Amino acid sequence: MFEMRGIKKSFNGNRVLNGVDVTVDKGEVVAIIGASGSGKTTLLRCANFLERADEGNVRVGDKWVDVKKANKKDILDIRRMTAFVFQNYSLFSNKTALGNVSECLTTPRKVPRDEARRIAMEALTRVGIADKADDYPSELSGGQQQRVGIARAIAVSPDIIFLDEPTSALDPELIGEILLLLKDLALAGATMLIVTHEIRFAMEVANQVLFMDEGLVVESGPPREIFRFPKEERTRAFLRRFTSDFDYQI
Amino acid sequence: MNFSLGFALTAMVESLKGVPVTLFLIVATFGLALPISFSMALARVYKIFPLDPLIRLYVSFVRGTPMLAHLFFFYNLLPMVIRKAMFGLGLNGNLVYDLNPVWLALFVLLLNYLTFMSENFRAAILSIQKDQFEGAYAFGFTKAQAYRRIIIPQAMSTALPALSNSAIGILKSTSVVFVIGVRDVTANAKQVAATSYRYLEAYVDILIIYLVICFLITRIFQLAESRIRRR
Ligand SMILES: Nc1ncnc2c1ncn2[C@@H]1O[C@H](COP(=O)(O)OP(=O)(O)OP(=O)(O)O)[C@@H](O)[C@H]1O
Ligand SMILES: [Mg+2]
Repeated sequence: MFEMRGIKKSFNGNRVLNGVDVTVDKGEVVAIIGASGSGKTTLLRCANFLERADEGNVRVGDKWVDVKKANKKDILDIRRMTAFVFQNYSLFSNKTALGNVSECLTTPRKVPRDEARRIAMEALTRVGIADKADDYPSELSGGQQQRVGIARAIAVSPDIIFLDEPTSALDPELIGEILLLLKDLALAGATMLIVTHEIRFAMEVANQVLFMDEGLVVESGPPREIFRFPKEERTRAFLRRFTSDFDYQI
Repeated sequence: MNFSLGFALTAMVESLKGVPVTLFLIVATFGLALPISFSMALARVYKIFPLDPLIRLYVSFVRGTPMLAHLFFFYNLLPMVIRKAMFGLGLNGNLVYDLNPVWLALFVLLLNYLTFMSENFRAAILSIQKDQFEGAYAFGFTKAQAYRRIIIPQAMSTALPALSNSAIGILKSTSVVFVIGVRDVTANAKQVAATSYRYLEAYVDILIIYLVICFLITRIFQLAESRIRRR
């Protein structure tokens, strides 16, 4: 179970998050949609303290943290219970695919080296790139790099995975296969909070969709309601911009 | 002008006796400078007060003055200071006159090359993209863990070409430490030349020796670069 309550965040006096609430139940997928600049990335980054929110509470599992009072240990605890998949992959460029995954187990989580390698290999197999285990990120395509990013996220058995537009840096022909992989993870019971512009994916995979605008969750609900019968005018205006061109069949 | 191959050989044998001292100075300067200059680079990157302004001052001072002047200055100043300090501690300060000048040379070389190498590292650390830190932090690395496992290895391999230049710079700079009486390659060559009034042969010899050492340093760094593969 993951929760954020009353999250507020300003950058240099500029309010970016205006009191956001999010709940993701175990095994659920929650998709966040919204226009550019609405604060989606900032919200995810506040969830694992890559960005420190000004106000609010974050809960992962049984751990509640008041962002104002969070100390180093609280932050490490939250980060070690969660995982993040970045838009630009953010793989360690001095580590192989296998090293990228096993490093996250051995160094912060103190998993013995052999066991870490075994778990990492399992994760790479699961995302379909076991044959690239010894390649460096620079030797991998964008799609393969994002698979490593996802392998890293599942290998640490997190309570929740945060994904910030995991497919938007990819070539169109690769987007579908990554979305399919994420769908498989969801079906296998992974808990995910994902920022995405892939409406069809959100429709098929998400249990709940949040529409954000100007630092607020304006509307939320099951995907069919949000996409078919949006109540708010702002949601409707946003959805009108998505033509079928932006959708990928999965 | 006549060039005596025989004397060139004699002078070579003499000059080679200075190689251990020259190599010691290079290895010791470089080895000590590595961790210190990396720490200096961190202090500058993170603008740690008062280290950051002090280091900046130190770098601009050392960069703006010749090493030869440092050698003369510290040759006159340091033994005096150390002698006083030792007497102050109840030790026999006169022992300082037995000090091998090679230590003073090491000190001055270090003083100079810390500035170059800290700039090498600073540039390398600044070139590392923010996402390398964030990838680590997001997975629960502490700052120290992120540095040890991700940032330092990358900074090292990025800095290698520049460090290689600094190492060659150290090699070249060792050739002036004879002015404070260090028995390095150049000092040995000068001596054998002076006793027989044949300078050309001896100076050809030291050029060859420096060239070979320079080649070796370059090779070592090339090997290191191919070992630490990245990107
Ligand atoms: N580190 C920062 N410093 C200052 N302003 C920032 C910072 N990060 C984000 N912002 C601002 O906060 C606002 C929200 O940014 P955010 O990246 O969260 O939007 P987003 O919804 O993810 O947009 P996109 O769909 O383009 O990714 C923007 O106006 C952005 O300029
Ligand atoms: Mg964003």
